[in-house]
Amino acid sequence: MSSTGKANMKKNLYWRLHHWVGLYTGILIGILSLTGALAVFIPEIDAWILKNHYAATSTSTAGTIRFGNSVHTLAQQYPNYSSMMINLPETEGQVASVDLIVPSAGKGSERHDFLIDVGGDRIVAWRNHQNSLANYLRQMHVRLYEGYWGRQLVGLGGIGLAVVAITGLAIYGNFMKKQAWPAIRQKANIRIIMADWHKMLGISALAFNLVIALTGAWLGLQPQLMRWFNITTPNAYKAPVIMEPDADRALVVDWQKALSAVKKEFPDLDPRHLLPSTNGSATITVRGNINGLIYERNINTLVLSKTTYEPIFKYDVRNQSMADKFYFIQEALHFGDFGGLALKIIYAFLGLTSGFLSISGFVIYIYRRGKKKQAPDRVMKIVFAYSMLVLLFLVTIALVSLFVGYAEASFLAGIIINVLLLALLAYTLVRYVMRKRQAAKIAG
Amino acid sequence: MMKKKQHVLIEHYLIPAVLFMLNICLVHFVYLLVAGIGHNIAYAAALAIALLAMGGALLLKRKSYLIFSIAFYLLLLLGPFSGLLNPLH
Repeated sequence: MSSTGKANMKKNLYWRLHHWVGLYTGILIGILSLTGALAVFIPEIDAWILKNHYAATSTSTAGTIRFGNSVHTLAQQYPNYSSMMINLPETEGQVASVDLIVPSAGKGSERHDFLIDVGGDRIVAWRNHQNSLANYLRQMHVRLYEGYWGRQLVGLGGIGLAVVAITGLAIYGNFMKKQAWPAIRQKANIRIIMADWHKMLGISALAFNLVIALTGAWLGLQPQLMRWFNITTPNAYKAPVIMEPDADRALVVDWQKALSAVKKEFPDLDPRHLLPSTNGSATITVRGNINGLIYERNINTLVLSKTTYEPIFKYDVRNQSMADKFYFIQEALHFGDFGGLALKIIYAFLGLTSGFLSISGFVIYIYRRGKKKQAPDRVMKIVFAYSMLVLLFLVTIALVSLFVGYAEASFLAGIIINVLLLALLAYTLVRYVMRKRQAAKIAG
Repeated sequence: MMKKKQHVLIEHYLIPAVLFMLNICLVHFVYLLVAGIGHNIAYAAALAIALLAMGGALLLKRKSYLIFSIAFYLLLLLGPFSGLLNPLH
């Protein structure tokens, strides 16, 4: 075969891959694009809700924060709590929150968020952690609200997006011919216009979408990959157990002393989470960020003794190996959590391009399938119907999660997703068998 | 023939390459504005010039401009790794 023939075969293979992978993962990419564009603003949305819906604000001034009495009251009110995490406010005027997990008879456990005015050291509001909008946005983007293999599905969506981005680049020249970037043939039919937008936006946001795809694939498949390749979380630390769990929980912590110890031992750390131990190790784990670095939130760690406030373990990402840094850069790169609000707006805008690409790709597919005889309004009706069904799914799960409960929403999402997946598999299988039979009939 | 070759080189290869680098440069620039412009204003200014150079090259679509803008940004991007430039110090 000539070199031109081989090159054409390769291009054809790339096109087929782009076509089929795009078709089968397009709807997933569309959902992830929309939820991802919202998910980058989770901290801002949550802060707004706390301030305006729960009227939870702080009277703290000059950066002094006090929350010890409130935490102590909660520990006495829920003496059998299994986990407590104190989330410190990011900016002045914000409240601190205590994320408390309490075993519950018959229900497994309950997860509460108590909001504390760090000026007056008083609890000002309560909410169910699981049913919050912030939790909905995160869970929908991370696992489509499907607890069993939703996260892996999202990871596969990431692989799909990477494949369509790479194959799209490989076939870009073939589809441009004499066309110039960023020209759109406005007077052509809707298929040509959509194809032009598809190529123009696809190539313009290629690097961004590739980064989102690869980091998303890693984050989605991370639990499985870590299990298969025996990878451990780099900053994991298990302190030895030195007392009974009940005695550990009963220890009263002087949080001002703990924060002073953090300042002394890890001056660059901006502490965000404080976790008193409940297993008998008598420790306080402090997690936070070092300003100006592109790493996942709250990975820098300082473990202090609950009784002496002496440091037991320190994890400063700056002093770690390249492998550790590479591990922790993924989430920051994926969510654009390193350049303030401006970068988040850029991320949201560029992130929505993959959603548009999945819609425009679908329009082109429907036209092609109908041998270019499809009426434009019929094509747009089909695309509109699919888009509305996706929105209906997202809104329904959101409403169930916010007003009924997380478990019920997760159950419903699990049914919808798995039934749809099964239907898609069955349809593909039946179609394949029918085609084979038809081909055999013609050959026979 | 020459014109077609030039068109293919610019439209099919150089413009996608500039757009690819432009995505990275934009995020890089905004990150530096938020995280560390106080440390090295010259580096941030050079990044802004790289952004403008790539944007301008996309408008003008000249082979030399496109190649120069990619090379300039690559130097800024890879410089810190090679020790030539240190943007945050």
